[in-house]
Amino acid sequence: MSTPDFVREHDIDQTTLDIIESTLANTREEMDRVVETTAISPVIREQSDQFPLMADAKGRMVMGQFGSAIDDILENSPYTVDDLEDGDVIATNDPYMCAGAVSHTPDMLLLRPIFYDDELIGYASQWGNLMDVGGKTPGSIPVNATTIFEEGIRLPPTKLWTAGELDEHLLETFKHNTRLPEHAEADIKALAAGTAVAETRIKELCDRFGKETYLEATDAILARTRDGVTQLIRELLPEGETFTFEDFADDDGQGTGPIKLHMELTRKGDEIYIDWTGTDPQVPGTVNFLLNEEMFKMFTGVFLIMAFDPQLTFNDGYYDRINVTIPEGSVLKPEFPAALGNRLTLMARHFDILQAVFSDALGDKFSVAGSYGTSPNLVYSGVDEDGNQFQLLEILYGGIPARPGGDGLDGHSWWPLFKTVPVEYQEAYYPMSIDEYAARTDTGGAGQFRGGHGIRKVYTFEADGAITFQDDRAVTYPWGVDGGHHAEPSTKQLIRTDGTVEDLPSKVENIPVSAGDTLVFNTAGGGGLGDPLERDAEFVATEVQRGLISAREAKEAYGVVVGDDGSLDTDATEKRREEIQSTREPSGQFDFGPLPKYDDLAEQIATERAEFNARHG
Amino acid sequence: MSYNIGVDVGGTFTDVILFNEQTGELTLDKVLSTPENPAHGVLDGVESATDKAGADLMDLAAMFHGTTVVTNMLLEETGARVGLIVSAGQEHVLHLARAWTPGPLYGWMAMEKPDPLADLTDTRGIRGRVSAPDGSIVEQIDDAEITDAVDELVDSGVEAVTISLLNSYLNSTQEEAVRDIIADAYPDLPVSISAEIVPEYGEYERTLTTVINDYARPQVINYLDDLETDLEAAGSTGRLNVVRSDGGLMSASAAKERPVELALSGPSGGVVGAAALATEKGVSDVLTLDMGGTSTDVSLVQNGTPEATRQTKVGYREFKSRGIDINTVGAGGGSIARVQINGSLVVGPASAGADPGPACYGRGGEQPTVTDANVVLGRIPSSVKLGGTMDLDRDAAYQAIEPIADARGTTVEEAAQATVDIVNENMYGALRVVSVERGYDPREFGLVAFGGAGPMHANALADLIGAYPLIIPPAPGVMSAFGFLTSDIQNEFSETYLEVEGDVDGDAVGAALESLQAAAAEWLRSEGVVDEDHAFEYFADCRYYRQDIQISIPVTIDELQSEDGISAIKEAFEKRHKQQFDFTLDAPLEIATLRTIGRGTIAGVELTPEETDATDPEDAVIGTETVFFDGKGQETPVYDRTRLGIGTEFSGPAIVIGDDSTVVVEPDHEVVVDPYAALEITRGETQ
Repeated sequence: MSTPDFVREHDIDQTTLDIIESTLANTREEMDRVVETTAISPVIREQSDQFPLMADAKGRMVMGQFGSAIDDILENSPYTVDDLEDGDVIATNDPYMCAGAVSHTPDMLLLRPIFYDDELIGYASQWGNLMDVGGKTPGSIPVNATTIFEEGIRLPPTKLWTAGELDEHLLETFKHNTRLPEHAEADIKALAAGTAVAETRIKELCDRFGKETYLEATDAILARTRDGVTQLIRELLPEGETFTFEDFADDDGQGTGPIKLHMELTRKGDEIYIDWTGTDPQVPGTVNFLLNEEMFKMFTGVFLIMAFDPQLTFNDGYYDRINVTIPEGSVLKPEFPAALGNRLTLMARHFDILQAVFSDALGDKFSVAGSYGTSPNLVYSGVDEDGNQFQLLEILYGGIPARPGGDGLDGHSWWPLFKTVPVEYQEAYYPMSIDEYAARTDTGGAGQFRGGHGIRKVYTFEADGAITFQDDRAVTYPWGVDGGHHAEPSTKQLIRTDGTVEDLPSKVENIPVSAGDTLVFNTAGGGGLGDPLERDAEFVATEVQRGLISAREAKEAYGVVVGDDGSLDTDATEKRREEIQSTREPSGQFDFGPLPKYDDLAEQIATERAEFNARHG
Repeated sequence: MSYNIGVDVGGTFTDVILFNEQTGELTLDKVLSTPENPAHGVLDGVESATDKAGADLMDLAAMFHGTTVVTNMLLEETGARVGLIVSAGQEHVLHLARAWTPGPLYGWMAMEKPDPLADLTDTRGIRGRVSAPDGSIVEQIDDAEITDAVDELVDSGVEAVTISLLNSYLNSTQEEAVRDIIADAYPDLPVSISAEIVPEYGEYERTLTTVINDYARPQVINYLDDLETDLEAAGSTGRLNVVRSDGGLMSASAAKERPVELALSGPSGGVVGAAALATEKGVSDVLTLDMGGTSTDVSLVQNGTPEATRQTKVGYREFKSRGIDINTVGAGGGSIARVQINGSLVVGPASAGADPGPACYGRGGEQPTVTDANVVLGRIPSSVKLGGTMDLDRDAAYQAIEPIADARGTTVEEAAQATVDIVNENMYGALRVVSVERGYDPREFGLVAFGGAGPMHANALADLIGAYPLIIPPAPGVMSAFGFLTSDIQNEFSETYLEVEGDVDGDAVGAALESLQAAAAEWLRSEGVVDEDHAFEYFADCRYYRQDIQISIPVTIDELQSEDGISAIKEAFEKRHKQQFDFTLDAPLEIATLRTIGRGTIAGVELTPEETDATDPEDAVIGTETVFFDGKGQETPVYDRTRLGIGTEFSGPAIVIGDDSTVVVEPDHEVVVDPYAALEITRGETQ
């Protein structure tokens, strides 16, 4: 890749540059705040499922948190850059029309060009997860779909606002195709307000420092980040060696699985080469993940930045340093019209793999284990006793991987800024009660640093309706690293009012439920890091007393023996640890758990799905 | 004679200000704090100040006391061992902490999450269930189970107990019943129930807030008991008022019940004082800037009233308690500057603190700080002595800044200027959050600057944000203690309402507010405020149905019971929503929460304008200093603030040295000493 044009001497006062950079960083936060406080969907305002960016006039992200695909969006629109004017806002929710910058139909992306003195000086963009965009299931994330046509209305890149005028007809048409039209309107307007804030702030910077200075600053900010990341690459990654990792997502919810992701990483000079060749072809179900290459470059850089220099701005500046190959027709680059709704499983797994490859490549400098491995979600919809339609969409969490210098957090969000919806909100606004919400004892992988536990949430439904959910890591295991153990997988049980219990697979669609039925939703833990025998025995005992690990797990995995009251038995512990030490097999770098052979697992997945389908017609 | 006394206990010093009710005279004093037993330091301060004023402790009518006891307890995690009783199945409510991880992507890798303030080993789940949204009881509590749980907790050593049951905001009878059971067995054990501390939905925040209350209670009870005993022993019979996070006051006995309301007791005083001073001057809309050694607090005051918030944050923990909406940024005199891997300069939030402090203190600090940059730029003249006695080590300041200059290829003065510019920018960002982001135009506000370092940076900030006049109070270093004296007895009574327009009318809302008013009036009477001195304000916190914001709309009961009824609320809400977010929705209005604030006015201090007594400013000049403005060294006069009479006028550039802080006046600005002895700074005509 050729050296980008922003790499040059910059004619700007350094302090002015620092100020512009910090103002843009604050603006990025302000964009989030505006959207979160004004949106109506709980997934945006409570769970923060929305992402902002600010780009330069060439569409390169200067500040923000998703891959800039502005070129692709314009290319797939009826407009050229010259057709854009002040006050325009382009909207799209079609992943295939923005190279996967949003990767399933519920994500609505807005793009606002920013003008100053009649000159295009940049863009602000923000996307958020709408509650519903139509399609075959409430929430628009079906399991049993094989094309994107079943996943709701798709808006190709189109001006929703032209020169500040909202196209009411277009909005009405879009809303009309969703199950929750008022939510859609409020959330789209909230996203637009977020991009408007960025526009205002950027114009204020031009007022304050002059347009030319602002434009010079955006180039310099890109160049600065490029320098920083180049330095990290040079210092941290060994040259010439290739690092490889392979991991599996469970299945596509239709009987195909396990689904293999394969990644190789090599550093040559100041550049990284990442190749996903060897990854499985696209699958019939909805778990295909259209991975935007620019976004993946951002993820890679962000990992290095967050692990080693978290204050560095991330942006498109370093993109020429990272070269990415994603095979066409694979699960990471599926061909239209493949279904994409539940792409988070593979997104999470590709993050797991990135973490594993870096744990390997960075040697002693950094290791981190595997995660609960998707973004588990539940939709419950129906008609309540007053005859009102309701539709709950909830995102759940699991075990955070053990990390350098610390345990993984129990029942926390892998994804940034997400939050649990309060039980009291759910009980007040939806016909359900929550009987339990707790960390699952013993589900995080043992280690010197323990993996976080998965969560257990027990719902009792109070109205007839249907549930749809998507989880993963039910038949594969979040791996441990450097002697840390794998975590326990996810499980789901539906308990009917007559007492019958059904184990459900991790992905199901529109299962009818009756008032009084109970769903037990258990998510997976996170993997452990380092030898569990190295963990402070006193602290293991404390965790037994806290009920976070059982006495049995303490003894078997950690070699820690506790009395009936949970207090540490030092002598017995010493003996037990010696015993384990002398009898155990040497561990590899990664512990993948008791994974069956590939073919056996594939057969098990197909059989389970066939049996499930037989039960539910 | 009769006196009121304001006492602000800080980490190093205890500030005291004494007001003579007959003469209107103010006496300022400062003594060392005594962190090991804070009550002693308070008594020292009270005795020292009364002595200085020639008064007697018997003459104290009332004491107005702000304390960081609770703040420090939360930051240092030194509170009591709390037992927590929750609904079965919810035992992990604090441990899971709403699953939140910080941004950006991979934020979890570096997240530091402290253990819950009530340990899981001290948490018990019990039977009993309130259903939502109707509030009916669907499962009874089991007395024996509760007795066993509490016996176990007390035996294991808990010092206080929190009861927080699911949906208790709709029906608190089960929480009350559990409390009664505990009170029977352990009458002296402090117990709080969540429905009383936060009667609002949201089990995590309600539980956390209530646990914090109990975490602080045993120590606060001890502390206030000690203080009352010490004061009485010293001969004082004055009433002890404690300052709340929202800047209001409550009696010591009320504070012992609800110490969570003291979490930000200290910083609120400065804002209240600034609001009182500015309003007295006829500038009732101001921004406030309180810059200390490690951080800066900013807030917005409109119509003389500081903006309030329901979210209070101390360290990692964000909980529900009414406070002044203070935005804190890690920018202070001790903030450390450093150059990052990509060449950018960052200042703060790391701070050199008080020990070793900035390099110029000469106590072994080597890191470049904001204060060192100010010294290099000549903004702190040589004649200034630290703490009145210590000489500044100018060479050390220069050496500390030098590496920044080397890394950026500039002169040391330029590096120092960059450091000051960046720290100003950080404070500017904080001021914007409380003004621009909330839909206010800062150019329509004045700026009141105080704290040890505030007056040194305020003029540059006033230029950045366009807020004038800039007001520097007479004693910027003891603004909090002064503010305490201007406070009123105050408390808030709220209830979760969750009604949608159409389902309720104005009469119903009015009646609900009236019943909150009755509770507020009863509380005020219990605080010793007679009915004639009661004042009430009413608020409906509104949003569009299912939105998460709550915009507080001031209402009157008359208006609600008039023909307009609820539509007046909706109109005001939509106007505010449009102002802040630039759009409205075709969605129903939901009234989420109703609040009544009861206020008992007491006159702790009276501000009286003084006669003009202008002096020749030249008479106050005690030297000149080369100070860097806009990259150029300029000969700048240094004024002694104590020699500037009321009404005296002069122009910038200027440095004004006072007892407790240094004021920097930028070039092309005009200064006048106002009738309250504050410096009022405005832009010159050339600007």
